[in-house]
Amino acid sequence: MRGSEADRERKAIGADLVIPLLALAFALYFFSSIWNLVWEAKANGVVIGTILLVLVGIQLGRSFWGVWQGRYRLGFDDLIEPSGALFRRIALVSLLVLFVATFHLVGTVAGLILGMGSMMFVLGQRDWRWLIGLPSIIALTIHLLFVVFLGARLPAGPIEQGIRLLIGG
Amino acid sequence: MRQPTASRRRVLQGGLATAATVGLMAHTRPAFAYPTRNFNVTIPTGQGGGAERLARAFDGPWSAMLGRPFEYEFFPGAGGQVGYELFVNRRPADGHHLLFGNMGPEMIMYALQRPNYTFPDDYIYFCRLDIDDSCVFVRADSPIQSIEQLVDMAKQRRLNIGTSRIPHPASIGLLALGDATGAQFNLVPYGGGNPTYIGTINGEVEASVLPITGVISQGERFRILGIFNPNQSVFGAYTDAPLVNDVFGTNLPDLASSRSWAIHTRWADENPEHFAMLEDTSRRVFDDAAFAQAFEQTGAPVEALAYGDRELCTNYALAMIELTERYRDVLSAGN
Amino acid sequence: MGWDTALFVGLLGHSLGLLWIIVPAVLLGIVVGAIPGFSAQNTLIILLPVTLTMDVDTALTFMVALYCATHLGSGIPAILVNMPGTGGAAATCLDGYPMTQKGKAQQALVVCFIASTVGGLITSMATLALLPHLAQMGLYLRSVEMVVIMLFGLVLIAAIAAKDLLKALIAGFFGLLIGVIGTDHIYATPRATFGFLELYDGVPLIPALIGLFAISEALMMVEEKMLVRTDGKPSRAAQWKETIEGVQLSIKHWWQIVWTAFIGLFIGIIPGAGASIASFVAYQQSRMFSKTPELYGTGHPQGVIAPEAANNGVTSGTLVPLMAIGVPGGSTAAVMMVVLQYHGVVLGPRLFTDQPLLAYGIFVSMCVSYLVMLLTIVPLARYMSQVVLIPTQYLVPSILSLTIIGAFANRGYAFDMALAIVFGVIGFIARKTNYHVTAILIGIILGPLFEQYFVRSLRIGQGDLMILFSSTLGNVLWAFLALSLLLPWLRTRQQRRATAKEAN
Repeated sequence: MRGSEADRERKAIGADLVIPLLALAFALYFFSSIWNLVWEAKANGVVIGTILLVLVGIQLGRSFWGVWQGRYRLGFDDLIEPSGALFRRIALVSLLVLFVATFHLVGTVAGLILGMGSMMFVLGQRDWRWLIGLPSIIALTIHLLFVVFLGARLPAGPIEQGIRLLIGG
Repeated sequence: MRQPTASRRRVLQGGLATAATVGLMAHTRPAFAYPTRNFNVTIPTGQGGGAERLARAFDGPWSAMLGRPFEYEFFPGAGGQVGYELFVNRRPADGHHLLFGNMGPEMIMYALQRPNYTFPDDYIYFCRLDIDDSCVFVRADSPIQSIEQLVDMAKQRRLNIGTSRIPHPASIGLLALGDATGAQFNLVPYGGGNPTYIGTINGEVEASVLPITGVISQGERFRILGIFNPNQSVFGAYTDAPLVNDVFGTNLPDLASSRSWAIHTRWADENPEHFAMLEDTSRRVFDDAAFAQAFEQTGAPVEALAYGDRELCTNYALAMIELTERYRDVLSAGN
Repeated sequence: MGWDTALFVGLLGHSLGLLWIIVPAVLLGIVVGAIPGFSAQNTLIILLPVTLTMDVDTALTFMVALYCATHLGSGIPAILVNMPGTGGAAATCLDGYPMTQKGKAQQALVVCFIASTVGGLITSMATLALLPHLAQMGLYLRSVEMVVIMLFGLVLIAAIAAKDLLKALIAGFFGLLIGVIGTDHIYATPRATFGFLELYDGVPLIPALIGLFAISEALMMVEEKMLVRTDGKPSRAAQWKETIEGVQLSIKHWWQIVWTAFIGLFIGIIPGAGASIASFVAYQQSRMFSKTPELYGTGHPQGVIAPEAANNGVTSGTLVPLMAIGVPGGSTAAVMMVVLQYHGVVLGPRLFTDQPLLAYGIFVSMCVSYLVMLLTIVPLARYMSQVVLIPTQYLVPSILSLTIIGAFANRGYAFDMALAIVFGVIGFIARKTNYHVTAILIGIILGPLFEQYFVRSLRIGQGDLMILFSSTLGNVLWAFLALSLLLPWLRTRQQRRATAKEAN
């Protein structure tokens, strides 16, 4: 085993393999789902899936050969560095998931204000006027343009009901 | 995509007021008013299609009687399964959510795919609007002049015939005709009536099979060769095409498509008075000249309009399931 | 019918009288076009109860103006924040955003606006003059020819992958396989849907677009304080001279605007095709015929002109089958048909003799709408370009909030929001590891269409693969496709030889 400095000199290709491995897993699932269908329903998928498997095979083979030869290592540097940004990204994605899970309960406007304010906080904004002001403006603009004017149906919460009473709509 | 109407806000406000009133009067347990808000309609095909045009022609007089407008949502995909699954499993059974579908092809799809909802336990059709015979047609300048000629040609070589979907009464009609006469037809599905017209006009297929009202509404562009109807077609004023059974002495079943309103069975059973009101008003729409006029404006023949009640619709739908079982092998992708 | 100047002048006067509806429709169209999830089709469906109450001329003018403006609007976020408003502007990102990163956002916007409006204007005038012939042309293109046209778009997957062909092909084929999710085109049997009803109709384009472009780009932006590197210097306010520079660039490449707009027009006429295919094909063709193909993808103005002129060329083309043969070629045209039929207008060849004012008037209204757009939006580029100076601290949350709502608004499924997040993470990993997200998107957009035409062709050929080479027009297109593939290879070989000679 080489030292950590020598390790760093070798290119980390672990991150490069995420997309091919996802593609591989999906192609295998795809094949399992079409196995019993007649040829017309699966012809296109079989051709595309087979080519994809060959391409993924070449990429994986090339990468593992490089690792075997000592030119590459299986690190994920491209995805996890810089670590500060990684934390912010995970936090943003988590906030998006939280928004999707709760906006039916709290309403779109409140969900957007809370979600967007939290995202700004994660990205370093600490001034409460910004944290409340900008999200409120964006959320209300979305509400006015798309719900009040265009009539799109976004889940309503207490703020929407307040607006409705206010504008007498 | 949901499509609200301009009066939605007023209705919502009205809904709040109604809720408040009901809350105050709860101890007296009065009969709830119905309907209390707009009707939401799931259409399991795309916008701009025959279903939407017919539903809109119908909803003018009907919404005037009910005092509430209709809002439409379109969920095409998987031969209607997406719209039906969504309606049955994700729309509340509250009498304000309806489905407007084409019973023929959609019951065939139901029978083939065996989805996770059940007819008639989960939903019922209660107001049939039309009877739309399936027909075989060619473009106006086609060398094929008659259904006999088409069948003769198909005995010599397999003919390409356009259709909207393979699981469709019109497709079953053609396959049954092939079985009965020894003719060989290769069905080419286009995924809808409009693309089928294009495929017929540009000569990609020799002929096509579709419900007849859409073909008639296309005017002189097409020539109808034969109609699938075991008894008597009402479209004699628009075409001199013969009935397929008359020409070949066959005994092909009724292969008409019929559009109908549907609602959750549970709500209909639990609210018999309100459901009766819905049935009664929908039947009375047929007496309103505005409906026939709006329907005619789409270019379709008014002769197609024919009311059918819950029982008739249920019998028709169950007959479609039976028909599908007879042709399951040629209609399905599964081995 | 030939060109009738008196009729045209009359129609022009009539359309100018409808400016009161054109201007708000254009403004609304630009806004909804710029926000992923709010396409022309959705907006027109939402506004249908309003348009049904208008008289038929006004309703049609409103819808056409809004429709054209969405095609223009969708290019704005593509250029400024690498986030196309619709699939038709995805190809605009390829060079539009690199121009922004180079500090040339304003020039890119001006080029985009001029290419869009002039391209749209020229093609709507051409449609007006050649309508009966164009209607016939749409009928010559059948499933077999469509297979080849789809392949023109798919070839772009390889073309944009100058750096790493293997990675681009993996991304493209991954996208193509994702595009096969959903029910098959013959029997409507579900495939690879993970049991989700929401995927029966295929992977919805809007959440895929939002995830792969907007969310992934927002996650990339987190590393920077600003989109444009100012290298410590204070950011400079936008100048009018940059607008003028954009105008000059557009004039310089006027011929490219014309011919790529016509690619859009021809593809628009084909029922079922649309702006996404047109813009990818136009970009690919523009790159192929360019003397400097290596500059494409690096912030090259011609890489903005081609897709933008093409996706606006589509707008008039889409209406041809609707008006001339009474069959809508796409979903937006289908909504227009509902309004026309509601008013009792009988579509088809007789429309042009029975109601020439309506039939031709729609294309004149389109010309007027494009003129309105040209005059109003070009000066605004200066102000719009300032978006890139907003610190990412504000920009990233705004983009994420707006687009996640867009993902929901399209079909009303919370599932689509979750799907957008999944695609966002995939897109981010792809960007970080140099798997081209555009290649994935091309696969997702063109994959289902390719399958539809391919399987239909095989069905028509009754299993015989030679059906793909059975038509003259199809064979001409095949030859042209082969040329598209060979030309860059021959050019590279020639360049290598020349370099080798110089070295010797």
